[in-house]
Amino acid sequence: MSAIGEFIDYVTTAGNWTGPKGLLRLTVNQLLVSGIAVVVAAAIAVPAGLGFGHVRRGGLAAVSVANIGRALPSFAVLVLAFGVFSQAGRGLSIWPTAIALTLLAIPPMFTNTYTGVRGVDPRIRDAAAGVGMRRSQQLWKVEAPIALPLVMTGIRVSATQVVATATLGAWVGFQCLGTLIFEGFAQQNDGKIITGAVLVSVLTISIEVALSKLERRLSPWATTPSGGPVDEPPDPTLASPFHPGRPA
Amino acid sequence: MDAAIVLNDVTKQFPGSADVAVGHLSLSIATGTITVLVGPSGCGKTTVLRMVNRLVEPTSGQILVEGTDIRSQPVHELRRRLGYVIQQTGLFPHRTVADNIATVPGLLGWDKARTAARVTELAELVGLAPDLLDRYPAALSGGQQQRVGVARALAADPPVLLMDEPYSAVDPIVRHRLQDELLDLQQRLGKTIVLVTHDVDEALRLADRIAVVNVGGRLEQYDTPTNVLRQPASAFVEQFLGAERGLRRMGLLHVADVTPSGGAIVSPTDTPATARSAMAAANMTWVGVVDDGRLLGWVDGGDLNGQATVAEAELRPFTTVVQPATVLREALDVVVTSPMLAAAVIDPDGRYLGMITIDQISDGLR
Amino acid sequence: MHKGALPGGEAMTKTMKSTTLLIVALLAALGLIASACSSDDTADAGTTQGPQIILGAQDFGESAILAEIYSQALADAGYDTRIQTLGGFRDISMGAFASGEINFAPEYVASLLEFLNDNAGTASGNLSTTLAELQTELEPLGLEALEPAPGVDTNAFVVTAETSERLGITKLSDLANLDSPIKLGGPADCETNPFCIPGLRSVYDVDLSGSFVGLDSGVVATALGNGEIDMAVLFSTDGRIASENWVLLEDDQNLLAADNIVPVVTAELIDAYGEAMAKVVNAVSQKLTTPVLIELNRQFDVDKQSARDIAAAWLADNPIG
Repeated sequence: MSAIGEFIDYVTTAGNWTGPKGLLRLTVNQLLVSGIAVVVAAAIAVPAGLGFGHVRRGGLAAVSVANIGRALPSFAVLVLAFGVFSQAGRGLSIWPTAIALTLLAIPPMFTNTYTGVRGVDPRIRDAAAGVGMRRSQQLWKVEAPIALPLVMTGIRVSATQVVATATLGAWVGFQCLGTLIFEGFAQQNDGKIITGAVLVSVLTISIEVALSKLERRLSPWATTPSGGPVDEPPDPTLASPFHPGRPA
Repeated sequence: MDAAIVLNDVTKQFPGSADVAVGHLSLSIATGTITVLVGPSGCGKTTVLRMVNRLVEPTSGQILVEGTDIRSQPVHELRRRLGYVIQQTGLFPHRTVADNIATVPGLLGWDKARTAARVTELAELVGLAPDLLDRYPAALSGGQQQRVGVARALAADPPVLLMDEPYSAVDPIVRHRLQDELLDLQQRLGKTIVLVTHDVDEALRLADRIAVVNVGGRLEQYDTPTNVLRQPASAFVEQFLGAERGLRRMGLLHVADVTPSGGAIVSPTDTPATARSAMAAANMTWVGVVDDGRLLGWVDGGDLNGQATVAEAELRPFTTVVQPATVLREALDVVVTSPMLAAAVIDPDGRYLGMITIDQISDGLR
Repeated sequence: MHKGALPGGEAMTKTMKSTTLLIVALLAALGLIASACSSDDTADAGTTQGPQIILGAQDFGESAILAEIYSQALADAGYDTRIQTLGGFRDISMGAFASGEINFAPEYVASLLEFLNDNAGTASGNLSTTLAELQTELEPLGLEALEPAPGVDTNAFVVTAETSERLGITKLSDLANLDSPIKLGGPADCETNPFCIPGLRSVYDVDLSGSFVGLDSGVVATALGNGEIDMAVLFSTDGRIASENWVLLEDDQNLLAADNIVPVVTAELIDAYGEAMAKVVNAVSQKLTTPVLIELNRQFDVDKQSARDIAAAWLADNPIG
């Protein structure tokens, strides 16, 4: 049977959708672990990025530190996290995967938030201070909203990476869509492999699309084309109210 | 007049810099006037302005706003009383025009209705069409953005307006118009305005008093524009003002500032003999004909050949006319291009006030 | 991933499946890079003329060590050799033979047989009959098995000493006496592998399918050591069994098959080098006993030494010929 055929066969078998290792449960788990990772990472990375960006110092060092997380192979982090949690008897749980994904999610969110706040036009910061905003108001009313499109991009990039990478959780015993791929390879079951791969792709793309929409929705001003209209030519009758009576 | 802003021996030295940005500056700015700080870039004029609203803290010295030391109240409260307009407007890109204007009322906790009414009022005041209020700043022209910046600064009706190079980002024609609008606004609202610019013409055009600032924040001269032009206090000021000081000054003075001569004038019923003696007295070869305070025209001396009255001679229309409000520089142009090297001064009601020639203009500049 | 070496994986269909092809291409590319990086594996191409001997190593420690040992022994004997790194799946190593990318691979008698005969279940604990069947399967592929080593690497069902004592289990038949199924962790193919969960069910009447958790081979031992699973599927030659003092449950009803180490070579290689090469290889195989394999794996898994260093040191201590 062709690979496509096996895939169709797998997803059209009702029994594959239900039960503790059914597609529904696996999809929910994949989303659950991704959700935890994105929320925890955002709770750490966004305030940190806002803070470093607002005070405008120490950020470069922080970005470098955060990016170490990006350089580490996810699978190595996952195995390490498993080892740590396993010592507490919690290795076979959602947590090793959630923590490894959190570390993966932090760098893009932190870097984008920091860059977004750091990049606010100094004249706009000046204006915010100049109109009499307190420091916190400058951050929350001006810097943070202006950085929001970049913050959201960071969250979107992280979230799509996380959803796709959550697949690896299967290798440390976390039941998710990756389990289909993990078992499919070991059991020479192409239907399972393709089903897993397709569902992961569908989830990743859906989240990418949904977050892009949310991004545009949250910052309508950012989509306004820059460069406004040219000033209309002045009305000549206003230019000089008093005409000397010049010879005709 | 009271002083709205007083700087007492103010010095600013930025950390890590060997030279002072502003050294021992004392300055008193009168309430309800436009004071322009002008000087080359890097002279410290912007630092002076930013010390007033404490975006920069002085190293030493004291600054008073409306009689109180600016350090005696929380900085954000101080700033809400000092409208602030900056280069390229500094509008908040994520807020609509209306929300930008409503910034300070929002900080002050005004209710919705009051804020909305104020926004509408300000939009009208600065000449913003109502349909622009829902747009984001990026969708506005440079001139429109500048008006929003002014409206935002005026929102809570602050007594003082600080403007830092407000027109540097708009083209000359629009700049000219915005300057006119500022003068108009100032007349209506009577704010104390402190404006920083590097543009001498802008300074001369807007200022009640000009503070010419040299590098290191040194005050070279502090006087009215015409006085600064007439009598530069130092070689620096003279050089900074550039060439054509006389012409520039004439750009600031008006016909009303010079005393017209009576000229050779007769009424239509006078005889040619009267006209001739008037011409002789004024050392002129023509005579103006005035009836009931109105200038009817002029008669050439050569045309007076035995008529009974001046009215019977050929009456030529008077085409070189200026008004009291005419800028002296334009009046000079009229005079030097007129065949008679003179212009008649007529008030807006058509009344004849006298004649001006090069002599009167030159007297006025003295 | 260790599971490629497990016996009884579903056999490769004659026409390769598309996903498999993709992986083969990917890993072949990786292998080319790896081989390019290790070109100094080529020992003195001195005395013997003929095709280069290319040894396929799957990506788990034992396979890499065995490939190194055979390669270095052959190089010492004057053959031109190099090692081609392959993925963890058996269909890849068999594919590499077919495409000529390798002509020598250390294999396992029973597992390879079950792979080639589509899981017919004919492999047994009897080495000679299993080997004979393997030769029959290999011949049409132009391959030949040399003499198997005494060393066996099978699935090993392992518990900690503490669990063994607490539950009173030392052999697989003891599992049937437990009140509730023991929690088992191992490679994901255990669920379908006839020498794993299905075999435990048919031979020992113990159904562990409900309490099984699939794990990457890299973390199975960690999970067992930390008590997250009660029983692990490891390899009988895993070095950690000895170092951690774990208990290998005795296969008292002969579920497991004769998975002796066996070098598989192409007929072309035999034609070219004949008995001389076989002699070198067989001399090596003879010394590869189960305790030797356990020690070599321990050096790899526990001491974290490289396969090449382990092989070189072992050959120095155990000179061939």
